[in-house]
Amino acid sequence: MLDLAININDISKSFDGLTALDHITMQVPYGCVCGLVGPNGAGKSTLIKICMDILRPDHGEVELLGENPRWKNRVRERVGYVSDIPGMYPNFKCEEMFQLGSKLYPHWDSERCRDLSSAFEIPATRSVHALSRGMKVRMALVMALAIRPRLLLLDEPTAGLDPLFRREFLQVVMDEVAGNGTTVFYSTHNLADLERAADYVGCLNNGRLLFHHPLDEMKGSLHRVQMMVDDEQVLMIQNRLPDILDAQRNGRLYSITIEGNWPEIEAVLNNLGSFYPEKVNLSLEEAFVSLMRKDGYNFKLPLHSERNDECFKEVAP
Amino acid sequence: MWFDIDPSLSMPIYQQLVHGVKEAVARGVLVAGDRIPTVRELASHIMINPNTIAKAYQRLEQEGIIVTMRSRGSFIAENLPASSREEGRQAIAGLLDKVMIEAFHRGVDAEEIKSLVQERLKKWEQERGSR
Repeated sequence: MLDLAININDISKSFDGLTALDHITMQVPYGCVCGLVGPNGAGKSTLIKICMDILRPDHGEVELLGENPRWKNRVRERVGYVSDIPGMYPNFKCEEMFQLGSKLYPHWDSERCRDLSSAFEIPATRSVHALSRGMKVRMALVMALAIRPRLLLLDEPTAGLDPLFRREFLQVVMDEVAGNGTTVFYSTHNLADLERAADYVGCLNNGRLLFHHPLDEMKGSLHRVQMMVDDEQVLMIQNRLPDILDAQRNGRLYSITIEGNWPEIEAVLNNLGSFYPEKVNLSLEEAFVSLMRKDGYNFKLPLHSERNDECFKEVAP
Repeated sequence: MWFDIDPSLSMPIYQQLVHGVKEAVARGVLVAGDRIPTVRELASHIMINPNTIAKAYQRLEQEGIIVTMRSRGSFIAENLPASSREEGRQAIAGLLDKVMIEAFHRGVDAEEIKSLVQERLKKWEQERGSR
């Protein structure tokens, strides 16, 4: 069994009778980057806050670095946390926040703190409340890395920030993973960044964990296939391939998103007659939409252009 | 550059990196003894998970395309292995199928394809010869 940096065991949490997390179990091995995705309100922040012991779960428990963070300070001092709205003392100057950090965290690395804050051009003598949101996130990242973390918990850290900073952020975090083997658990809506950065992807929807897989494995097991068909062939395909996530038809062109082993799927399609199945590219974003749709996420939007069903025929999988 | 990858493609990133190095070697852009970046250098440069890059390097090492020397980094191997002949033929045949589909839709006939292949081969040999 792999050594686990994060072991989330059967966590449930509700707020005023509303279920925010419903028996979540997931594990992240040391040295891995795990991305957490899901629509707004899916429970991502709640899960990360429970890991940080900012919120208490109703049920289940979390182990970080092999121990329960609720009882062990020696765990917390090795866990860096960055959220989209970092909590810091507003009346402290930046340099005072760093001094506080150096006194609270026994593994504080002053040199790393100095290098990063000069690279990010953090204004040492300005008060935290006078910083822009982007600068606050930079501050929080410097502090999270200066503690010599073994684990980083990042809660939508770059949401709403400019692409240049997103790039910087990702470069610094990837360097941290490569240089120190730090484990990273982060929630994001940016699937393009996730495709670059993550080993594992976990997806939450309505408080449930839809899936949690290695990214390469996920890419290898989800396929989009286009082919030429008639009505009879559509029925045959649906009968023979039960794992279709979603399907669209435009005239004779039929496009399916499907989970499974590609050679087997290809063999089934070829056996059903010749209609030239061709595999087309499927990005993580499209895969995500298909998986959410299968889970019942409602995409019926009141758009201005009325949808012509002849052109976009959605076929129930 | 050989490490310009596109994360949104269905092909896993580590495979894109393996392919990128192979292509650069085939084109003569990377030659025996050339140093390639360390995992850490490349991870922050192209913002890709270092575990993914390490996986690509491992694969390249297993295939004998690069050699890693502790503390000095990774280099293109001196004696490049010839890949299995049948495997190579299949890969090329698959690519040619794509060419023929495109040719059909663009109204390019068989004779034109043949002469194009000849022309490209000649150009390729000239370019490689001049390195």
